[in-house]
Amino acid sequence: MRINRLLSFLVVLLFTAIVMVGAFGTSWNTVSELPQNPADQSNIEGIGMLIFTHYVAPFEVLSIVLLASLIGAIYLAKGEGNR
Amino acid sequence: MVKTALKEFAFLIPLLPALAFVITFFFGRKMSSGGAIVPILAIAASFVISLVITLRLLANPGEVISQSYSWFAVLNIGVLIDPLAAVMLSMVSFVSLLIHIYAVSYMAGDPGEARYFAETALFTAAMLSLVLSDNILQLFVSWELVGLCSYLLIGFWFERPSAAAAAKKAFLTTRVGDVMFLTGIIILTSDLLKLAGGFQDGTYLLRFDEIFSYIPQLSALHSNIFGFEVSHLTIITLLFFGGAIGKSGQFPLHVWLPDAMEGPTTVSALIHAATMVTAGVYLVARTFPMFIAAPDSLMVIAYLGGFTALFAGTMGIVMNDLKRVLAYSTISQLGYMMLGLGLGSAIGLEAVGISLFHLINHAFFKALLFLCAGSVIHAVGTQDMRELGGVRKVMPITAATMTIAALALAGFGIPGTSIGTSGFFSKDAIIEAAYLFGEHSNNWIPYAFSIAAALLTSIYIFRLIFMTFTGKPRSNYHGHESPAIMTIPLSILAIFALVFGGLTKTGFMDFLKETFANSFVNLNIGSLAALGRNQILEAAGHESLFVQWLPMIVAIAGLAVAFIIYYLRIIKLGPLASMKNPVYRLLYKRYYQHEIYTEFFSLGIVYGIIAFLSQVLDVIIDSIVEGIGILTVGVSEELRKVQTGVIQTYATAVILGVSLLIILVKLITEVL
Amino acid sequence: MIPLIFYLGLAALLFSIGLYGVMTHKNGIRMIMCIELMLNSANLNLVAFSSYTDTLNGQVFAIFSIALAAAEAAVGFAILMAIYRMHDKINLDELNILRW
Repeated sequence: MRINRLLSFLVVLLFTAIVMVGAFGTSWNTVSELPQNPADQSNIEGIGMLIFTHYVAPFEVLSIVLLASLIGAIYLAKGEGNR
Repeated sequence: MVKTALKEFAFLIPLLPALAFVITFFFGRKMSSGGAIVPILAIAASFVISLVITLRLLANPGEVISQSYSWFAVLNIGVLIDPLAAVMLSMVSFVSLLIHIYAVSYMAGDPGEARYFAETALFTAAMLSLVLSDNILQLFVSWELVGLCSYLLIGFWFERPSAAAAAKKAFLTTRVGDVMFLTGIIILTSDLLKLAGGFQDGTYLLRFDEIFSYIPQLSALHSNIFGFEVSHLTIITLLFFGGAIGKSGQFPLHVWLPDAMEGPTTVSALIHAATMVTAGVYLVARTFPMFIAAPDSLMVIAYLGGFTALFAGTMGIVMNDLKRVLAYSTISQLGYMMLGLGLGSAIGLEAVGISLFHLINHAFFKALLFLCAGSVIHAVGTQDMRELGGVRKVMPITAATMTIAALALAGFGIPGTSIGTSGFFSKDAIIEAAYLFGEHSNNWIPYAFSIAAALLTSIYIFRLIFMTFTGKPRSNYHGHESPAIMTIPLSILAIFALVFGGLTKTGFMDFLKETFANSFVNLNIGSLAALGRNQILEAAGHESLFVQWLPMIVAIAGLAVAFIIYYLRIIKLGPLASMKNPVYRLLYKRYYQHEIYTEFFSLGIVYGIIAFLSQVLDVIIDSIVEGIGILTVGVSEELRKVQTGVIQTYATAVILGVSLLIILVKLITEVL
Repeated sequence: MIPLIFYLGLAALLFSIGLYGVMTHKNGIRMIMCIELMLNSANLNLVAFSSYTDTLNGQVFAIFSIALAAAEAAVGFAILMAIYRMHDKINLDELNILRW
């Protein structure tokens, strides 16, 4: 178990190192200054507009997925005992 | 308008029987007499189309029918009806039609009737397709297909061990020839590709006109084989002839043909007398320009054909089985046809004419002989001539037609006139050509072969006639004349055997000369012959009266011998025709072919080597195979433990793998 | 302003912690929690990129992914419950019936 744990730790360390090297080694193309709007600090309205216009189809699909997983979870958790 | 319309139907000639095959094969059992009516109608339609096309072609021999469709790459499928194909088409469909009608009665009541008619329909389709194919590959495909049908039909009564063995023997023996043929095609194709500079769109490389146009270049290609400089053309033509040897039962691959008589007699008549066995002759005739341009190939054909004619004849005189006599006679006559083609080195294109003339005439009278024999066997129930005798009294029509066929086979007629049986004209043409050849090259061997074979032909066929039809019955049999559906085809064939040769003698030869000079191919045979160092006689000289009469004289002599021994029975053959006489024993044992081919060569050498090798290889291969198996099991026993069934292990392995992969990719892209 | 790389580093660390948890913990519930951690580190990335490129798409994606994580967690826990009911245990390394 100890050895297993050590091995896992080494693997994770290796993985982290790789990701870190990748992240730090890349020159990210970002905006120079975060946009500031003193009047309205929130972007909820923008997100809402996007969800219900451009992303309305994925949104509807997501609702079906949630419903299906809900039913599935209930079915699985309910068990066979009290049918 | 009508003419163009007719051309469009040329492809129907093989297609109709093929369709009949499908129908009869699947629904024949539910129809009366095995669904025979379907193939009969289909072949009748094919015959009508062939005949009309032939007549059209006869009026205008230069305008051949040629249709080609691209198959793949530079290969094509197509239809070519030139004079050579036209006469074969008409003959094959006609003989096949008559034999199918005859078979309705002959095969009546056989449990495999529907299968019989389906297979013969397929055979006819394949044979017709062979005849009218316009390229060597389609010809080969059909060639194999007729071989298959031959195998199926020889083994038609497969429950008999002898029939199954005969079918196998025929298949294997002809396969030897077929492999040679295929090798020839492969060499030809590779040479042509080399000469044409690879695949080129729009040309059909293996079409005959394309092949013929490359003959000069092919003959210039040389290879060194066992220290001899051999022209590629010679190799290819000899390999083609190898195929013809197998198919047409020439020495030394003739052994299957007598055994093939295990099939129904109608099959023997259709396949092993009239049509399929002549495919070899047809192949040589079809590619004749190649043969004439190849040094030595024609000489090989002439010698082998002549030798086969004589060799088979000697065995024919001692056989006691009705059908076996006819089988040896077929081999002998095929030898004549090959001899006729081989004489092309002296007489040029006329060789195709005389050979095909004999082929057509032979098809008529040999099919007739077989059908008559079938009629006798059907009525009497035995095919051993020693048990027959006096059949003439119970079967007058059969006896008459068979006698006509025998006269045609022996070649009776009056030289110098146009009176004579059909066999007379064609066989005499070949013998006279052999004489011309002898005069021309001072090589009398083919002539000697052909005259000796003519004598033997006459002896064995009249021996058969006298032993079967005259004298007193030598066993208790109850014969009766065959029904009209059998005797009518016999009579029609008898008429053809009697008069066809006389009526078409000169016209036929002139017609066949157009084969290689028409709208499809136009070849200068003289220059091709010069390539093969063959000198073609300009004009046929007039033979002396003796030469003209000699074949007739030997035929009459043969008749006389047979008459004295087997009709008058003045000379007792007792001691001569017994196993004590070494010559008789040699002939009766068929030159110990069975011992040499089957027991010594096949069973002894081939089987022995294979048995030895299999012993050795068993040990080697077994240890290799088993070693691999043991190794695999051992390694997997250990490796399977990787599959722990615990998710964490898998997750670790996946992450480790991904990490190492990224490092590896990075190393490869950065360092290298 | 905080450079983007800080967010990315944080997300990578979070992911590694989650990964280490998945690899070492036997308990199914803990494993699912670790998986959630990994998912959320990805969400953090999404939001960070979204902000630093001045578009809202990434944030919408993050919302979607949170919703999917909820569904996944629901099903995951339901499966765990079913397993517990059948085998009376929840340690996944003992449930190795799919091994060799």
